[in-house]
Amino acid sequence: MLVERLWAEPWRRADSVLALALILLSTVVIWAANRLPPPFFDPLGSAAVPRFVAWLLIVLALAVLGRCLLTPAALPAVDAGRDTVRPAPLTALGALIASILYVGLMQAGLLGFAPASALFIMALGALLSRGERRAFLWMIPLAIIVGYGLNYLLTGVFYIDLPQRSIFGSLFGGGGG
Amino acid sequence: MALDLLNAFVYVFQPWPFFWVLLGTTLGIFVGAIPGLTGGMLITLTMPLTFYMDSTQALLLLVAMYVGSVSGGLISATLLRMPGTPSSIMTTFDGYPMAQAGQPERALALGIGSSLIGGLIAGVFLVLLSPPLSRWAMTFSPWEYFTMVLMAIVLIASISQGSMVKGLIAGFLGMLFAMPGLNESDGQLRLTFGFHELDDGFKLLPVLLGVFVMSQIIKDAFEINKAPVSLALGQGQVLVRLSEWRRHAVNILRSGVIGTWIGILPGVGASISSMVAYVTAKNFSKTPEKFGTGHEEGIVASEAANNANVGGALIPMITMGIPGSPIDAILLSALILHNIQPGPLLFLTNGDFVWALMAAYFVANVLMFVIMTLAVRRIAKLVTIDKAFLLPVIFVCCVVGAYALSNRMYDVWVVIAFGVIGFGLDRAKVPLGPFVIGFVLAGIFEAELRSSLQMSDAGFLGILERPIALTFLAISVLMLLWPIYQQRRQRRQPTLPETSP
Repeated sequence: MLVERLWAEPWRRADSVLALALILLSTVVIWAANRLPPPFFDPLGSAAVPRFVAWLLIVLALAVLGRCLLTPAALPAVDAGRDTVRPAPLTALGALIASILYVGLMQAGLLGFAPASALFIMALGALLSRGERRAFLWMIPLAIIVGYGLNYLLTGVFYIDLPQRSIFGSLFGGGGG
Repeated sequence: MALDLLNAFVYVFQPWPFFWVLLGTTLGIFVGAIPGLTGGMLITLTMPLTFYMDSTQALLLLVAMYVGSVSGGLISATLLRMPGTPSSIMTTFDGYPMAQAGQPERALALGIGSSLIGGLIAGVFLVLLSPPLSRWAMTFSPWEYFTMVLMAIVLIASISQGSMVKGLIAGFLGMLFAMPGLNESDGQLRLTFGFHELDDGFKLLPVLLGVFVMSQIIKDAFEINKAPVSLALGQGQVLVRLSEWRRHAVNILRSGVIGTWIGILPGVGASISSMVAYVTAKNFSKTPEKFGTGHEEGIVASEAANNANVGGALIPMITMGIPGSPIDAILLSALILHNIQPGPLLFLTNGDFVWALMAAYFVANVLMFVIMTLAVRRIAKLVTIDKAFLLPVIFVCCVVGAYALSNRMYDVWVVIAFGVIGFGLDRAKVPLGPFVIGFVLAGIFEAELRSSLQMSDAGFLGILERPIALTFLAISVLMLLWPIYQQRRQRRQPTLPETSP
């Protein structure tokens, strides 16, 4: 009954997940803060403020949960047609995975900044333009210009030490990417 | 004084100094307009390039970049709901809805004009009132700073659209994420869970990039089926007639003074200035319910205050050697690198330099207005291109910005992690502004509370001896109780049936 109520409408689901996540996070923080040694230099110590903020968050999370439980159910007509846009969770997930792969490839030294950025811009651009051919054709020169241009500007002019190690560079005798 | 300032203007209008001010302002505007690149980053990156320059000209360039970057942020805040710089957060609340409603030129014109006037107001304070104001701010004890931070967090929560509880959650959650790392007071590592990368805590720039930019990228991908809202500028004038400014005169003057004053307070940056000015404008407005929906007063308050903050923040830096904002801390290190000792003696030892800096500040503000009014369409093209083209490039800029901070990929992972957190919070309708403000202020909050308790024999009761701190505390409590009172009053009045919470 309780779970059904918390799961009844989209806003209740979102608020319930938020409240539970906050309670979980705050519990972990309080647990970690309790393991810190007591203050010895000052009256506050290292644990007091994180513990205080975590407790405040628990109280606020309980207030959110309470509102989920106590607010009367909305009329069925209210939410209908409220959000006519069909969300694209798979595209969002794809964007996230592309970003993780981009950073991961550079960190692992498989690709340098320039080729990794060019590939990432092409991949995410294709995903966001939903395979539109014309947009993708424009994306290729943009990706190359931004990837290699930024690499030149930032490393050559501003002397930022961007990841340059690339497996392709190593394979073909160079060190750079 | 007038003669000193006149001589400084004559100097700034010479070819090379003027060139550096023009270059700095232009670069600042472009960098400020691009989400993920900040004025702080530009100034930090430029600092090594100024080593071979004349000290005065180097500082003119950096100050002009500061002015330009704070102003440039309003373009992406208005057209993309992505604040180009953190100080433009409040501009997104009304600038973006106004641009969405088909008035991007007007939104930008209001922002640009307010930035100029706000900047000039602060310039007047910078020249005339800096010594007495800074002396008064110096009488503040840690109690005043502690209660001021508390007031800022309550303020930002109270201005959040929707639930105040969620605003407070965002603020305190932001504070919580600022806690991991080394506690400087006792050298104790806390909340690191054995991850050595966390010893230094989460740095501000990656967190900002994650919460405001990465989360927006995920959100845009999530809502990719939504028909894109055209925010391209039309042929309308990016100018607001002088007569129209009259009705904003009080708001702009008040916001300029607030921005200047908060700028003077050490450590509190332009974001807080625009936030406090925005809330104040809302509280004084005859139509507070319009704030957050594309209201002119909101844009004017935010932009006048954040530009005024730049001038205000220069006051303690010049007169006391105390940074008024994070960017002022970078400028302070630039002064030291150029063998100029900041502090009260600066007026005596390097008077010409100080006046030149002030004159350059005025000139940079006027140049900012001219450049942005004439070239805003070109700059806006950076933010009005198809999201499929824009978002990947923005993320690459985020990676560069985060990576360049310490040359480590960990900061880039922080961007992604906070992007996911920001997206989740946004889905749960938790405002992101208070989250960032809480994150920024947590360090000051804890440090000042600690100092207050160390100084006071009476513990928390020590605050009773500090009337200014008590005033700040009373304002915080009032700000917290006011929405509850308003809600109860509304409940008593007969209303239409509520649709949803």
